[in-house]
Amino acid sequence: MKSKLIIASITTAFATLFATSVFAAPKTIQIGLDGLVCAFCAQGVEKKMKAQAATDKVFVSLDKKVALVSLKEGKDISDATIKAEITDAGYVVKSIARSEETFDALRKKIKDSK
Amino acid sequence: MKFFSLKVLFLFAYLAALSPNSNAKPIAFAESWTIMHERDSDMLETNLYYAPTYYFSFGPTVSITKSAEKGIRREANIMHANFLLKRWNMPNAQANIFTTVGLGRVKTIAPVKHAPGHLMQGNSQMNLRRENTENTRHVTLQGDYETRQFYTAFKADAHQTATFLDRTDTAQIGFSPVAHDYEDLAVWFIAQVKKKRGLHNNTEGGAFVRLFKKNVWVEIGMTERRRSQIMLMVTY
Repeated sequence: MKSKLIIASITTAFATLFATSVFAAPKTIQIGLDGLVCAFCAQGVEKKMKAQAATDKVFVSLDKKVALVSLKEGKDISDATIKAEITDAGYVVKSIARSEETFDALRKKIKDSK
Repeated sequence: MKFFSLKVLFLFAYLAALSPNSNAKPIAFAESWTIMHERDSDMLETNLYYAPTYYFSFGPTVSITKSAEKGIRREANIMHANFLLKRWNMPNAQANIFTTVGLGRVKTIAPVKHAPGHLMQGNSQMNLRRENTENTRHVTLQGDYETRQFYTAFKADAHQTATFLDRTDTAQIGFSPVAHDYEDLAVWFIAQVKKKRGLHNNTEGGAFVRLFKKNVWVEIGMTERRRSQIMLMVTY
């Protein structure tokens, strides 16, 4: 009986750990774009992504050709929505990557990278 | 659609009261409002555009064009529709083709001229002026190619009524010493050639400095005839 309890506890602990890591909500989305060459380009992308209910903050880098979106707690934006909104802004999505890194940390990485 | 504050409306009214062909893009980005004002030695022009999408914008233009040599002044009020015909998004560049169509009214104020043999012929009649108001149409075709440090653009412009046709063709090339980012102040050095036919008949070069940060664009320069040209654009 005691061994069964121990096995059940360990199994539950592993299951919880597994569920947490697989279903952890991302904190940021990094969108790679073509056509970003001026402030108007960046402004258009920024406006579209800021209008999403799940968006907290947006950072656009012309140098790295990316838009970084900070998500509200527990929220996400689907790839289909991102592609549709960026297309509606007049640009082309090249890549989408989700991360658990904070917005500020990723923004610093983008700004500091050469 | 956002509604302008009173401050912005008064700004537009002021600029309209003051008041050529802007070479800036007629569509900034989707769901944007843009106010543009440009003046040079021969014209003042103020535009207000709303772009519901990235490929279409519309709005009124108020302009005054004058020729000191001919003593002619034209005051036009035109409603424009601007279309992005094609965009190329490249990893490090963007190219666009736009067209604009406009319909409106223009009032031409010109000195009275008398036929040979008329009693008043030969007298200076600059204080007698005739006004003629007529329908007008305006068409432009413009294109640009730009990277973060290089810019080139052309624009062909035709303004026509039953009694006149004014043509302006413009070519620009520009360079920015620094590959600016979104939060930076972008500084551009622009060289321009503008050819006018109709009310004016000349081809004139010019050099300008363009300052561009976030949603504000200012372009100041001078033509080879030492005449200043300024353009201001604000986007929301």
